[in-house]
Amino acid sequence: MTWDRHLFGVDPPARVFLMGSDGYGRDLFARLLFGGQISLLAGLVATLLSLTFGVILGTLAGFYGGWSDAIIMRCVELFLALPWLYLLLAIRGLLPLRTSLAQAFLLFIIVIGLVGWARPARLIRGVVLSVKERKHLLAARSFGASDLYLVRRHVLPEIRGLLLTQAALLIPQYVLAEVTLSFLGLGVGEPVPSWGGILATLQQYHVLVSKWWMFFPGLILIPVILSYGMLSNSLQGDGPQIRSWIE
Amino acid sequence: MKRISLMMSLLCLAVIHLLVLLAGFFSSYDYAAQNRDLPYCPPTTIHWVNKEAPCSGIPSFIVGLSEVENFNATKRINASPTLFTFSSGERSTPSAER
Repeated sequence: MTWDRHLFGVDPPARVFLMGSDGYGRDLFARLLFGGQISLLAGLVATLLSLTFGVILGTLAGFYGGWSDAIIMRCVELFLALPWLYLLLAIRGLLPLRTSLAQAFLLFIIVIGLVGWARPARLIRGVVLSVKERKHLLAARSFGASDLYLVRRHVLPEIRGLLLTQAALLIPQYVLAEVTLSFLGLGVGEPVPSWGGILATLQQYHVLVSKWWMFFPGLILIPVILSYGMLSNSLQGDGPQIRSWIE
Repeated sequence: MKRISLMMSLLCLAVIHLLVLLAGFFSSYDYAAQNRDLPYCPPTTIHWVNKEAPCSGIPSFIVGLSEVENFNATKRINASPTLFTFSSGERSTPSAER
């Protein structure tokens, strides 16, 4: 999205750099804000992907049990044991070096999201296991309700609170994952900014020791992660009351 | 207490997401616009009060570029006092500037 109007500015040839500039003389404040679009969107979309897979597989495992439960839970254990950073490095290594922005962005959202489905799936399975033994659900089944109806009407409302809490926990985790990957040069390429990509400049020693303003993208991570942490704590602590208020 | 922390976290997240969503409005330049003569320029000093001419009629919010060690200090540029007014920014791509 392009804007013709800006909140503030100075007449050329002067330049106003609220947070300084980088090695190419690009405004760090602009790159920080635009970089947030990539980093936060990556966190949100990867969380959505993880939770979608987690809900589908966790519900299947908990609701049907038996061999499907056994297979899905073994996959969960496998995915929880995977060192995701090395997996991402390996997957990125398999792809061609020159990939478009959209391809690179989609790729690591999909990879991050797919690697992270295991933990929510296991939690959701636990909730579904307890819900499916409840009497009102057994009564609905005895009246001939289909599995799909039972899941939609009785199971999904029970896991909604858990999903909110998980989302608040996963988003900062995936934002950090994006920052880590971009810092290592596996994220979106230049000139498109992301928080990790901007921080990657700090790999140069002279920047690390003398250009203190290049740490700003790292500082913005603090309120983001703290806020999501506080949000998840509030959702866990007061439980149903706040969750119902938000819902 | 939980309600307060919830409200604080939601407010903080809303502000950050709003800033990021409206990045084009809040930032003065395009993220790719390069100024090769100003590499690693430290943050611009903001002079909140016009000390040089308090009765000049110029608004109090004045921006001046601080003296920068890393680039040619003799070419110090005094910025025009247009902070917090709407101004259309220059849009340039890296390829256009090369």
